[in-house]
Amino acid sequence: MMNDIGDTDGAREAQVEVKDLVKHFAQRGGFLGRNPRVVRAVDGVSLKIAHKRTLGLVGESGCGKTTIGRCILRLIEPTSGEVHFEGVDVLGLSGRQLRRMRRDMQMVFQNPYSSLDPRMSVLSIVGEPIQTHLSLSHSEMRDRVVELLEQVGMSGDHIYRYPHEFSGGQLQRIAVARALALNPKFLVLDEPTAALDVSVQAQVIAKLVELQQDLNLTYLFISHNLTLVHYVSDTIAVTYLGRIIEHASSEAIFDNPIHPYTQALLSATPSLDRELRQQRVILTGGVPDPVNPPPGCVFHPRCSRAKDACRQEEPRLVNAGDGHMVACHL
Amino acid sequence: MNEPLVIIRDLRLQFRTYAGIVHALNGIDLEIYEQDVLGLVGETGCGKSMTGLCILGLVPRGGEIVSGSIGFRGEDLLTKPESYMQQVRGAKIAMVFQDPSTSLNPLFTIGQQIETVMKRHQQADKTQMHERALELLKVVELPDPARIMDTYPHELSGGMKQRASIAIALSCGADLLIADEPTTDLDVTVQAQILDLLRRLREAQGVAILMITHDLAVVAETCQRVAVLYAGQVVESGPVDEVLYEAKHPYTRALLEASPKRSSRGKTLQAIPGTVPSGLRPLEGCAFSPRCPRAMEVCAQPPPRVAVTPAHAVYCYLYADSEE
Repeated sequence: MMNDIGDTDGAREAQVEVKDLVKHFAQRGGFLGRNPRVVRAVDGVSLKIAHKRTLGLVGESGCGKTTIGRCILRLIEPTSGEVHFEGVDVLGLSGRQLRRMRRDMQMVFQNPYSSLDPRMSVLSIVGEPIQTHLSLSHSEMRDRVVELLEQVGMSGDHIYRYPHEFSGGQLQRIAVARALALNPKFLVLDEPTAALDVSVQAQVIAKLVELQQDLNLTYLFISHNLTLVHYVSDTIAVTYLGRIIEHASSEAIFDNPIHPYTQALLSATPSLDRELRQQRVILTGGVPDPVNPPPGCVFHPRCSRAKDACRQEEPRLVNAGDGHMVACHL
Repeated sequence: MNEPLVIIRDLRLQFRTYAGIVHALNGIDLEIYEQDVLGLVGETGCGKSMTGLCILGLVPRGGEIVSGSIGFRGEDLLTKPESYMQQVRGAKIAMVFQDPSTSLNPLFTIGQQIETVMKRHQQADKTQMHERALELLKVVELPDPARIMDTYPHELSGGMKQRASIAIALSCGADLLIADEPTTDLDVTVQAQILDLLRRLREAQGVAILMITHDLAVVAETCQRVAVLYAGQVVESGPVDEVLYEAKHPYTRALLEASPKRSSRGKTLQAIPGTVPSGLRPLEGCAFSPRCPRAMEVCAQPPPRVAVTPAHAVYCYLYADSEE
């Protein structure tokens, strides 16, 4: 059922496969924590990403995008579910095996001002993964760091500088260089340009697209910016309250969105394309509390076309033709 | 749209720092018309927010306005004493800040915060103020205004807090609302709600809005006129449709090329080479010329203002000849 997502990828072997991923966070509540609550951050997410492809994960804040990304890399332990990378069960790995696996899977975080240690030089920031995983001499490591910096379009002379000497765009490129240090196959990019200006964003995105071509990388691109996700991704998964509600090729999501939430999200996105400035669907209210999600379809309280079935039964992700997956009763 | 509500001429702002004098604004020229929405766009550090703060007379410590004038209804605000500005702020010109969770006071209820502003500027008794506050919460479309009056900011979501701060800004019937990135911290679906609200408020309340934003798409959706800022100077201004779809200045064009659009899929986003000039050096000539693909020798001189159409102005030598 799931293997024909994004049609063109049907024949390709999935490099990253996520099945029924669940992450619940326990939150203390009540007097002296006697009334613990469970935040259902990710509630049954399944994904596939083919080799050399980009999957865009979009959704509003609090919908579990970042948690999904971190669970795949096991930066946080998922509550249940399965993650396979090139056929290997990532969640079943021991500590040592996992560390070996991390060479192939790396992450770029949202805010380079906080993801790079201000007290480390660029050489030690980018060199740290090399030191941890490979036994190279100091001069070999330095040569590799210079090579990596040049790969992301920066001068190799910068290795003895510190993060405060760089602009946001440069810092994010240093973070990309660090992620590339061990020749990974798969990168999780968590809002890599959210902290940057548009002209700088364009530099970083262009560099990421170029690196994907040159180094045969697979990307999971997490963002709240639909236009940007559409620009970089082959397939898009739309998340809402810890679930995937629509998953299809980038063109299909934009040209033929099926789920009312996707339609509302697209229409709410301000656009520079003049012909797209039409009358918009404006949703009322905000995203519900993930501690106690509404019964049935999680979107029904904000959906203008909700019917009885939507209030009672949670829709499953089904194929609406050509691998366009959607979770909606309509 | 006859006489402008606000006329800013040659506004220059400098900051004294240990590293030297930072030239934050280098001669801003702007007009805001009655019931107009003017978008002020540009990248980080180009002086958007500082322009807004100068209008309100809220220049941060260390900053000094070295020249220029800000005409508001015929009066130059820069020559007025602080006591006069206190009468203007909140009553005639109000501000909506980027992050409502820090601009609202966490210790007072929404109702108290609206009434505080009214108490300062209007003579009214308690029941009148209470009724007016309830009405304002209805105007900004908050559900159940009577309950919202008694809630504290932490009980509201981001979108609701931003609605409440818009209610405070409108409480004394301001003529001009300065909205500094009012939707940057909000999700897209909530952003659409707030932008839609601002649009309708302009029509219903007849308030002019200065919309400060870095997002060209937000400008395209909400503003009638736009001014593009670069390094503390206006490089292009005019009606939104002309500036965004018939952009003249190389910087405006580059900014548009760098923004992802639905139609740009498959094409490369054009990054702008180089970086924004440091504010530490005084500007000589066109600030964009070091990064401009079409820079000429004359660009070392201050660029002329060229009227493309009566309403559309561009500050660039490329169009200087076509004027005469």
